[in-house]
Amino acid sequence: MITIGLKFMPETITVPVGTTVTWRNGETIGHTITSGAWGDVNESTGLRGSQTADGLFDHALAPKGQEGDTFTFTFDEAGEYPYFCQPHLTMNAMVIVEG
Amino acid sequence: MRKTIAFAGLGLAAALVLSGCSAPAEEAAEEPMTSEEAEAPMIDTVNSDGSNLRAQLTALLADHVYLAGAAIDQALQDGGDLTTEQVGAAVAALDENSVEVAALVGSAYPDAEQPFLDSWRSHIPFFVNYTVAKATGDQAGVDQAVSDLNGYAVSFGQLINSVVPELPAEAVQAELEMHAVSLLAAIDANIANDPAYFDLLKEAASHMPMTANALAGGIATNLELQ
Repeated sequence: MITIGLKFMPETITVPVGTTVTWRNGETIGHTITSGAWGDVNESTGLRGSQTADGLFDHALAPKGQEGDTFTFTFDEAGEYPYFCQPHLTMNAMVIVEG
Repeated sequence: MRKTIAFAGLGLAAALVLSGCSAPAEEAAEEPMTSEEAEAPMIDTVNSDGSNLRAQLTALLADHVYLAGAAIDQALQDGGDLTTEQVGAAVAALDENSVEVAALVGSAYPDAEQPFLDSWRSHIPFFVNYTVAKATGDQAGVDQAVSDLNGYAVSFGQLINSVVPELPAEAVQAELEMHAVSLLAAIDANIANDPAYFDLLKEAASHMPMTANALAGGIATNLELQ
C-alpha cells in the first residue's frame, strides 16, 4: 500500500509471557497501534481487506521525534495478538506470546 | 513474573529506519546490540523503498486500463445495454480496482483516500458515454464526453497537487490526457471492429508505468521515501 511500503518491522515477533514490547515510530507521519484481527490481505498490494479492533490497546503513535512517538504494552497472557495501524492498510502485524 | 528479552532483529530494525529498505530479520542476527537496546523487544514502523510504491501503482493502473477495456468491450457486445449481468460484473471488477488504487493512495494520505476515490470513479462514466455516443453516431455526445474527460484531467491534476505539492497539476493533467487519448483510440478501434484494437489497448496500458512513475516519484519525494 501505498504502501506505499509502510510496515511494522518485524511484522511478527514471539515473546515470553510478561514481556513488555515497545513500538517506535520511524516515520514522520502518525500511526496507530491498534489491537485486533485483520485479514483478506491483497497479495499484490499488501492492503488488508478487513479489520476488527478488539480494544485491548489502541494508541496513536506520534510522528518520529515528537513526544509520544513510542508505545509500550506488557503481555501478561499467552496467545496471539494481531494488531494493525488504522489508517495504513499495509501495516498489519502480530505479537505471539508464549507461556 | 515480568521479564524482558533481547530481540535479535533489533539491530536491523533500527537500521531499516535509517535506510528505508526492507530485509529479512534473520540477516541481523549478528548485529551487535547495546545494553540499552537489549532491554526490551522493539518494533519499528518503516517505509519500504519508493520502488515498492511505484510497482504497486504500476500494476493497479495497468489493470485499470485492461479492466476498462474489458467493461467497454462487454458493453459494446451487449449493444450498449449497461444493465446486463455481464456489463455489471465487468464494471464491478473495474470499481474494485478503483477502490484498490484509492486505498493505495490512502495508505499514504488517509485524508485523501475518499476524495481520490470519488474523483477517480467520476472519470469512468465519461469513457462509457464516449463509447455509447461513438457507437451510435452521436457526435454531440462524443464531443461532450471528450470535453468531460479534458475537464476531469484538469480537476484531477489540481486534486493531486493539493495533496502532493511536489506534483505539478499540469504534469498530472498531462498524464491523464495521455490516458484518455490512448484509451479513446482503442475504443474507436473496438467500435470499428479493427484488429488494431488489441495493440492500441496494450499501448494505452503501456502508458501507465510512466504515470505511476510520475505519481510515485512525487509521493516518494513528499514522504521522503528512498
